[in-house]
Amino acid sequence: MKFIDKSITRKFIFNLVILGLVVAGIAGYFLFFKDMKTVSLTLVLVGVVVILVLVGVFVYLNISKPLSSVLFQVQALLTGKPYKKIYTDRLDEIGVLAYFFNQVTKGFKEVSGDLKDRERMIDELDLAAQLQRDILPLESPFVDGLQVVVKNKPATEVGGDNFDIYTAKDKTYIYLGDVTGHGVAAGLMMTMVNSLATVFADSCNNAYEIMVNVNKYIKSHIKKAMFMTMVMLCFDNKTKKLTFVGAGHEHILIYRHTTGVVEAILSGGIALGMLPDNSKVIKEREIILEDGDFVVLYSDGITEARSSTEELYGLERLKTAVKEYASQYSAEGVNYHIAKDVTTFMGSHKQDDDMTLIVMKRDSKNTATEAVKDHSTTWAG
Amino acid sequence: MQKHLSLSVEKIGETGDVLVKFNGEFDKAGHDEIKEELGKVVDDFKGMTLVFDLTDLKFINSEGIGYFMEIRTHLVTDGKKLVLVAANAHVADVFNAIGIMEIMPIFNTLSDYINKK
Repeated sequence: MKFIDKSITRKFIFNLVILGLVVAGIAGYFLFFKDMKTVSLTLVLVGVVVILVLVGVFVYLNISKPLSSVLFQVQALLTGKPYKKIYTDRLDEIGVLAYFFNQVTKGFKEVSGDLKDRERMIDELDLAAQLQRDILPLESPFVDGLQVVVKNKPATEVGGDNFDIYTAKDKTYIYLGDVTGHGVAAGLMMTMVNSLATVFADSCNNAYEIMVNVNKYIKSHIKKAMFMTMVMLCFDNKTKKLTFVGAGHEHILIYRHTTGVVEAILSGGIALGMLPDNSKVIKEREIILEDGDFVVLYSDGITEARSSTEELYGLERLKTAVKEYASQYSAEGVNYHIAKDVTTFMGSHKQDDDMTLIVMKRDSKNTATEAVKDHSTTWAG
Repeated sequence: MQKHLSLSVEKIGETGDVLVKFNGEFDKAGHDEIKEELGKVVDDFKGMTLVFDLTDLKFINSEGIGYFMEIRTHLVTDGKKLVLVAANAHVADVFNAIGIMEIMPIFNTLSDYINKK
């Protein structure tokens, strides 16, 4: 008789009716078959007491006791104490209450688990971002005959710009790369390229060989449609010749101090990770530099920086800044003023992407007054 | 709030090829706005060539090209291809800089593509 079990009230009324019928039966028995005079007052009182006791037992067993155990768990939940799942097969109001309690607490556990997972993931992403930043050099080294100043301003997430300066076999390699997108996958690709470029520099003879080998390796190991633009300069410490290999990166800006002209040449090639073999598409080219000439490398975070009116900083503005500052300052001064210019341009606009700016000045005499004072790669502006 | 990027889809004649016209700026914010719609277009595409018309695409960055690359990879896996047409000067500069034309056909106009076909 489940329909009766669905409501305590109905169950109570049903049981009361049954009890009433039993009492009525007993009363009828005495009325019709016994002499009413033999029914003592005591017997009536005993009957009333029995009825009350039966009602009390019913209320205790069916309402008070189960409700109390449900309320105990609810109270534990509300006061922050340990609580347990309520096991019951009842289909009445108390069963509904117990079911509701179980569902709510199950939801709490899931939300709490999600929050913990989220916190753990955020911690791990922070750690990945920190590891990635640790890979980037904190200082730019001294290079004989060249002033080199690197400044980087990472956006908040993992991934993005990648740069390094190192010397192998009498050649100093200076590169700047930018992985598509952000996130852990981009960070891993950046880390991989960083390690590979350093390793191949020891076994390869020039930037071209390094780029071909790095590309071959990452293309065969990264299945996702990801790529990294890069430009790698190679300064021969003996001949003082500067060459570069482009892999789909931004323009290379060259300031000619004799004419005051800023040239913007495409780095050329194709981004790393787009083709299995890039050996036919990339090539090493020379940049003929005179004393006092500048070379500027940048990531798209600079040219795509936006002002508060959503205007892009753009290549032309960058070229104008290079032209203005290169005629007045050392590599360090130019880097500082361009960084400041970009930061001022952005105003209160959020930084959407990593920004990296590498400024080099050919300085065969290593002019003391222009020596780089702050080798830190932290953005100055 | 004004959308960064929107798209419209139409069939190219009876060839089964589909033309997707973009309007706006294709960066992460733009992509987030059309992600589901574009994903559905790519998933439902039954023809051989999906054509992206970039006439009204005002801006794209390397991240936007990354999304193109993902779609291209998805299509190539199924023996299909992605073609880009009518990029403006800025967009063409970005394509040129990254070297995307080495792996993806780019036409000056939609007519150029249809005639070449």
